[in-house]
Amino acid sequence: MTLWDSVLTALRALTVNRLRSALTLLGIIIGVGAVIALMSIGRGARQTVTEQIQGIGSNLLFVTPGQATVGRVAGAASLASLTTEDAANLANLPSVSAAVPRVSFFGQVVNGPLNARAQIVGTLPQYLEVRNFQVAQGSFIEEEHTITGALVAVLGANIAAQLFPNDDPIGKTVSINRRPFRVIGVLAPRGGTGFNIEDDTVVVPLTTAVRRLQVRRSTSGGIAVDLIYVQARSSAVMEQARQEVTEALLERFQGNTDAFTIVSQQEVLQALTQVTNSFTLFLGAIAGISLLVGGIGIMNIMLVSVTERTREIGLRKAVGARRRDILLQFLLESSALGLVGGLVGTAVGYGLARVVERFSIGGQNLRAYVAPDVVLLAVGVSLAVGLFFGLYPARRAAGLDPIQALRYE
Amino acid sequence: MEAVVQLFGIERVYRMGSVAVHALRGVDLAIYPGEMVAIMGPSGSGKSTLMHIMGLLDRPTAGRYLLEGQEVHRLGDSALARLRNRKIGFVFQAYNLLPRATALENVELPLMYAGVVRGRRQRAMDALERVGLGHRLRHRSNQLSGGEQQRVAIARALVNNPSLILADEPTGNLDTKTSQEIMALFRQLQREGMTVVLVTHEPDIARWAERVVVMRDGRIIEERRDGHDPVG
Ligand SMILES: Nc1ncnc2c1ncn2[C@@H]1O[C@H](COP(=O)(O)OP(=O)(O)OP(=O)(O)O)[C@@H](O)[C@H]1O
Ligand SMILES: [Mg+2]
Repeated sequence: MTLWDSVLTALRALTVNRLRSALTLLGIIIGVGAVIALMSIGRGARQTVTEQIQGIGSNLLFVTPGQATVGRVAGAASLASLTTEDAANLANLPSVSAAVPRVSFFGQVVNGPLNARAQIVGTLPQYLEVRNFQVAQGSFIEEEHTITGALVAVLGANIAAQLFPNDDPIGKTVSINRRPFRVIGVLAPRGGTGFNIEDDTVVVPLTTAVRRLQVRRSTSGGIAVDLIYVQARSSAVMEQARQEVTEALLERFQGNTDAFTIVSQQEVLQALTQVTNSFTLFLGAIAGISLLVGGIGIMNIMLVSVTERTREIGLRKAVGARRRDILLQFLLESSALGLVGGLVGTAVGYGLARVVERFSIGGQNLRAYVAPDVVLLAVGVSLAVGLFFGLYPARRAAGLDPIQALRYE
Repeated sequence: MEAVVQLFGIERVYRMGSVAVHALRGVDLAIYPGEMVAIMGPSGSGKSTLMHIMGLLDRPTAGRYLLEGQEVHRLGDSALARLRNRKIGFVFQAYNLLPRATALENVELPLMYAGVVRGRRQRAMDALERVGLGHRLRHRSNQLSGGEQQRVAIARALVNNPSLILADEPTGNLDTKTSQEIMALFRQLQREGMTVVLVTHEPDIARWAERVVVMRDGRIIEERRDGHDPVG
């Protein structure tokens, strides 16, 4: 029997009992649809995270004081160990193009009756470029502002929208922690996929932040900061830049490796990607259970079909069907159920993913990315499910004794 | 002339727990090309068992079977399937057609398992023409009368040009008139050179064969060559 004849025979058998085949398909369709929709949500999350991390800037190292893993008691002095002076020194390293220090804390920003809670960032003018922000209106902090400790502020997009819903904020005065600041600029939003929190910031000169809003001390000259953004000259020299920064800081802290932590943008990305990957896998596994149930449905229907067609199987054997012809026919039937279910399920999953994108959680739009490899995986698995769950019924059919099968009532 | 079927001391024992049922107790039989042989005998005498063994659906417990001179008892399952496909045509009492398939599709089935693709449809049409059903090609089997269904089954049996047609009570479900028509058809096929073995309980049917074999308790107890032809 040619393969083509086997395929046609299998398809005919499936179309004979349309409703039954359709119901069996439904099980697989739901399973595959769920796998695709849920895994796409996971993938969407990964994409969002990736874009967010990449949106922070390019080729960045995050240098923070103290050890990231705070297991033992760290002295207050060691936590406040990085200073503006350190930042200035790091900026001079050969592989480093910029090093921008930053302090940050939460504060209340008020415009008349309107107020908003914002992350106040005290930093230097280079922050704009290193952090990849754009100014939408007005201008950013300048050198003289930091020298004089001017009471000027640049509002994040959300804060500007909240405090100045109807008018132009430039030149207006807002109060931050009860001190008046003149608004000199508004940052462009990070966009729908960015960290929302990045649009909820207010940027002020570093010196202003430290002197007027928060009192800070330093261990050895300069202002203590809680983060230094170090930008490497290119992605190729990232490792080298890290090496140089590490050496410089080790020298500065007399070999105390606990005094600082360096994390690269890449490492943050990897860590978060790992999290979203596990999340995706978890969602996929949950949806996979329904695919399994669909597979059991296939097995059930194939067993019924074998019983119903016992006489037909006997007849086919009598006219010359070999065991493997019968086996193949039933396997083709079950895998066709798996495959068709997989394809239709993909369409359903795609539709579900589009629907999911209309929802948002905490102001963040949900994103579902229907990745080709997920589709391939889902269709492949459903085909495999059809094959696997069809195997036992098919073997039963192939093993039937022709005489008894012919006599079967 | 070489026999189509040669059976030597064929035995078939069914073991049911501790009980052994001797369905065949040593059958010797030779069937020659172009013969039409009727097997008769009381119920349970082993006629169907013998047909199944001749048709390679079953294996004897003991004895030798040569099909066209070829020793078959050592052949594997797929070799037997191939022989069934090429050399044997079955006709059953219950027709055993695929109910939702058309007459043509039913007749094409053995050709399909023979791997024939080109000319398949034409050969099936020719076979249906031969059994007088040229006008019922596209009828589904459940739209055909019993006699017509049995003709489709006969067309299916002969479409692959087998060496032997085995018919187990082919008229068992048919009325007298239709039975006679079916027997006339077998007779015509025999005239065209086909070898036919059929099982029947009815003397009226057996009369169409020139050779009658009578069985009892798994043995051949009588052979007649005097069966006369009511047509000529
Ligand atoms: N699968 C089986 N298991 C056990 N015994 C069997 C089996 N098949 C047949 N037999 C026994 O073998 C004997 C011969 O059966 P067989 O079907 O060949 O008879 P038969 O001559 O065709 O009868 P009938 O005219 O009623 O069709 C019977 O006694 C039957 O009970
Ligand atoms: Mg019988």
